[in-house]
Amino acid sequence: MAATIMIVDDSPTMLMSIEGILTKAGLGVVKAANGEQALETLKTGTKPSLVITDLNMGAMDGIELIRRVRKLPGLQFTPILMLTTESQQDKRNEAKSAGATGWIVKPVDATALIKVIRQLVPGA
Amino acid sequence: MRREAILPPPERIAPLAAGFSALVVGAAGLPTLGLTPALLAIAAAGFATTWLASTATRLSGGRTDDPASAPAADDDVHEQTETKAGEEEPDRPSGTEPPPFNHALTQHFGVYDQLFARASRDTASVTSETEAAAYNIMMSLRAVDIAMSDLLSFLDSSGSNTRVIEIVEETDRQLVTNRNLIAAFLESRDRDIEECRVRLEDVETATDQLSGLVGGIRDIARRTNLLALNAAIEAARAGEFGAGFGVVASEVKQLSQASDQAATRINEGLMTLRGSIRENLTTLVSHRIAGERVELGKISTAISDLTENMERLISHQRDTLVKVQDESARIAQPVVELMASIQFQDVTRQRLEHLETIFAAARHNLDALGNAAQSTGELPDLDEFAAVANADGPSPPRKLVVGGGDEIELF
Repeated sequence: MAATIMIVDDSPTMLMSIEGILTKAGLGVVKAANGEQALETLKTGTKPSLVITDLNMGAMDGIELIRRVRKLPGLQFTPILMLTTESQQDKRNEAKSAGATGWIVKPVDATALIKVIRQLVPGA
Repeated sequence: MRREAILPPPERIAPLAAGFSALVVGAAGLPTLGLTPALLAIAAAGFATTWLASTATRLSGGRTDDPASAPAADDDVHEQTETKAGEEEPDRPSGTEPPPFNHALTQHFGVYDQLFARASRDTASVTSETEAAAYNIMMSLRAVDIAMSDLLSFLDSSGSNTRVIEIVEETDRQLVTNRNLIAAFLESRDRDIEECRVRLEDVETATDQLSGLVGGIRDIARRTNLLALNAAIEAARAGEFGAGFGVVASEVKQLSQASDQAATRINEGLMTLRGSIRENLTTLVSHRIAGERVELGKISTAISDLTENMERLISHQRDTLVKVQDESARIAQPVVELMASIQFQDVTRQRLEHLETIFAAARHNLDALGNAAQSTGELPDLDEFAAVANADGPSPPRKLVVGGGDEIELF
């Protein structure tokens, strides 16, 4: 069974872009338009193999989402990648402290994204 | 003296000018901002330079009461926008008092506030329009991708290539079967012809034998006729006593002649029958069966041609299917790259949104400066404003390198 990747981004275009890249690579996709929606989905029992989240998303930013996801049962060690236009080191450090697995600066190349996902999710 | 009273203290001029400079640097430091922010930067730079120069002149004792050197103080803000920053102001009619400097300054701030507001609206509009366009592009890309995937799925699920191979093999089997059937039929026909020929010979032999028997009958009739003649001669020699025997001899003669005539007709009939059978069999063998052989040969050729054409057609179809699959796979990669490229819109959107925060900070600062000039005399926090103006924004779009991983950092 194909690995399922959760994408969290407040831009519908970004959601479709990343979804297209992942599905073309044979990966399953669960989408969320913001942090709250992502948490609701995760609380209903959805257990993605990896989460890709935007940083700037209105009410709840990506780093806060990571903090809350890490408190959910079974998601302490799920790889979470930040996908953002930001590249400041202090933000990266903050994300790392919150429990992020990696930092990706937009725009990300499709091949590189799939490569890093397969690196973090063996068998994906 | 009036101007001295309204001028800001020297220690406040420097941070004020520095604030503008920071704003200018902040705006100009953002690449690919478009025409409006660029003009904004130029205008702000011009204004800051002019204002700083004129203020420095006044502070250094070079102040003048010449109305032409004072900033224009027209009540109509729109007219102020038409006066470019840095340009010499038009002559004021004699007898008109120049407006207070701070009032003019406030009006300048008002215009800049409008300028920033307009720039903010423009950037928001650009963000909205590019977002909609990018969304539409993604929708179209996804439609193309779905169509391609459906096509490939159909080709895979229908096993078209496998089916084509099956058709070719089935056609080959049918071809061999048809050719074998035709060969067997022709062989059967040859056997029929040989059988007919043997039967014809049997008929001729039988008719020859019957002709021989007919010849025997005619010989008996001839000898019976001769015997009847002799009997008639002996009856005549016997005179009156042989009259009755003469009648019998005459009847026997008539019978022998009738027998001879019947035998002759039977022989003629046999010859006619023999000729007719030979003619019919010859016609059957020579024309009809030979004709059938020719027609069957044509059918065999037509089947071969048909099969050959079908093989070519199937081969072409197989090549087409392979080509479609190859091309679909080849197009898939550019489609994915296009999908990835759409991220540029999100990067641009966030950079424009960052620019809008700078505009908002500038407006807020201008508002505070206006209040300071008009009444409070307290300038806003320069460091706070400079921090906003110089804050790192989202990364500028980079060239998307296929397969490159420089943009990814794993902790």
